[in-house]
Amino acid sequence: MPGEPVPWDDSQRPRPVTTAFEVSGAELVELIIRHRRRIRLILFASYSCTTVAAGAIVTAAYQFRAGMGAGGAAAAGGLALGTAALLAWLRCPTVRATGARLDRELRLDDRVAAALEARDGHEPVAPLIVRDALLRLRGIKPAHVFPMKLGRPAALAAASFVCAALLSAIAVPPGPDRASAARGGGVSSATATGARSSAAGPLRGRSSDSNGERGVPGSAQVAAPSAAAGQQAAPAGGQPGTTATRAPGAQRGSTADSSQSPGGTTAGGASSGDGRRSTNSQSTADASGAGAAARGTASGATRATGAARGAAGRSGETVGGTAVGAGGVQGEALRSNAEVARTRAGGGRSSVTARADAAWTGAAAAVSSDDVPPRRRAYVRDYFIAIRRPEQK
Amino acid sequence: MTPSPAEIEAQAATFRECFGHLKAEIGRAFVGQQTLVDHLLLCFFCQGHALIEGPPGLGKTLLVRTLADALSLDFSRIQCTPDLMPADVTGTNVLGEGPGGVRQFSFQRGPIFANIVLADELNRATPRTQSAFLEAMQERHVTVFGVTHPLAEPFSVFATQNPIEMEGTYPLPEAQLDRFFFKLLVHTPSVDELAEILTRTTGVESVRPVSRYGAATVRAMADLIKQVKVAEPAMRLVLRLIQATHPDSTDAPPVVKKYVRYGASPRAAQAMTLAAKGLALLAGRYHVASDDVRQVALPALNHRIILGFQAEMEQVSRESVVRGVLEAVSEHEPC
Repeated sequence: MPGEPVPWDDSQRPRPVTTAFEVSGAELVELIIRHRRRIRLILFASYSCTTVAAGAIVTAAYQFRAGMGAGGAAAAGGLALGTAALLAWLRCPTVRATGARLDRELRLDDRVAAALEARDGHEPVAPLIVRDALLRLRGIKPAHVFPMKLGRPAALAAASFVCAALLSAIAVPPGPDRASAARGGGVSSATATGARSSAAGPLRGRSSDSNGERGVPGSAQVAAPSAAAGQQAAPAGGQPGTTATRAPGAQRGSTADSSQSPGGTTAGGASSGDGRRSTNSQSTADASGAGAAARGTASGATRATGAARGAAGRSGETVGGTAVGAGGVQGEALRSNAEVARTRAGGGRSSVTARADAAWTGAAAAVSSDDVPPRRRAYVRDYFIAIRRPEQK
Repeated sequence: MTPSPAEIEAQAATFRECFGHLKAEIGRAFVGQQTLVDHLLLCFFCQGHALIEGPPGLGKTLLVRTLADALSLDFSRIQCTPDLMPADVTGTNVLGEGPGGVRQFSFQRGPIFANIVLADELNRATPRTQSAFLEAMQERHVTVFGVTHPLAEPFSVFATQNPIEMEGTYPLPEAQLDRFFFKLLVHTPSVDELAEILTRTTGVESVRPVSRYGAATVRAMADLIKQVKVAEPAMRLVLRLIQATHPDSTDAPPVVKKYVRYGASPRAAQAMTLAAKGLALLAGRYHVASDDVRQVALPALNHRIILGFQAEMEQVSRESVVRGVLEAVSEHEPC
């Protein structure tokens, strides 16, 4: 070519920059995998915050309702961590995606992505690209590139734990009667007032029992049958033929079995709430379950009295107590259905009988308590005498 | 023969050195406009053709001539006028006397047979003459009377056009515009640059570029540029940019949907990729980064987008549309 003073030849070339180390695609992948592990760890931590927080909330709610032992809590925690690990495993980016993220984080101008593509190819520039990427990645610690920042998930977890702690603080230690009461009484969130009362009422009574205080707990024990009476045997309280209009949950029930209602009149809430006629065992179950609900309204002898008033069908006297009792009755109706099913299946009769006996014993103790005014004591005593089972007569 | 990595490294170092040398030499004669010079050199090393647009008197011809001088390459200038014929460009067969007095036709080469061809005011040539450039630019050979004549290597056409005087011009058809690797805009110099121009051009001293590299170097550099790797992120960015220039595409930004009639062709993608490869080598990399693609998108796209009536009515420029596309297309694909 004319006018070309220095042609392209070897003497013109600058000294080649020799590679001072072995270029290895495997080393590159290994370096990226380290960062990938870091990303997975961050994902696991992030997901753990979320899942453990959710688990804590659920566990606390369950603890609040029915009680849960340490084993259950540990199982919930394990499940949450397992879920987080699974999510972190599934959502962890691929090696190539990790390379792209490294390019972004370290502003490497797509060096790593290009090197990952080039390492498998046979281009003459492939070793140079891989070497370039290795030079940039060597000595970089994954923790520096991907620091553990868990701002939002950690805040969520902390808030959840606070909520869970609050729930646990007001929850009852687990016990068989409370668990069964909660199963029966507080299922429906719509009847939150009733459910909470049914849970909170027994708490006081039962804890008093465990503390050996007979006066106050006795009232709670009384409240159970008396509330049951409020639903089932209103006529026995002396107002035969009336309907318990203040207890809407109870009113939804059908007419009580006449064999269980000596007055032979209409009573609300004793039935299961689904319109079926109550059987003997059903009524008994309803009585105890409704008593559990009524316990929420009964705190001490006064509450027992209020419940007893409800039992007598004089619902106009204690509006609040009746309303709460109504909520409890709704929940009890659910429980009654379950127990009816169990009873029909042949199982659970003994437990129902045992609960009725326990309620009876408690009622008798309450009646004998000095805290109850004599007039009301006589009233409740008459009521229990009226509703006692044939074998108790 | 496949070069070894060490050879590639050496060639890359030479490329950077050559590029810097050319830039310095051109800078001695041509004042300012660094981006224009960079793009022109990049276009030349990628063996593309450039359309240089600017008002008269800004040094377009000087720029191209200085490039040819700095590389000691064959340079020819074609002043395009309406009476310019295709044979004036490509050459023709002339009857001559051969050995022994035998009369025979021999091919007389036209000015297109040079390493660097400056087609001054190309839009003043008739469409017939303009089309004479088409085969040369794309196929790198010309066919005269059924005989194909290959052009010299390296070969680049640098055409200029004046955006002001449109009287008596023949606007370049889209097919020809698409054959230009870059469209480069020459801007009016600043006051300081004007002062420097006056100092250099009105004195006694005349600047003569020093030539250190030649055609072989340019050919080797063009081959080296093709060796550069384009990784998937950069390639996808190129494709998304091209796709975004089409108004019927779902990825098109509102500015494209409103103002663009036809989007960029696949040649635009080729031009962007090749130019990005050159930029990567200049940056000391052997792979294309997304940033390289963004840097060359404007000169590669702004003559390949055909604006609609709405854009003409609102006086929207192609540059603003391309910038809108660049802003709309994110660097990394959405996950």
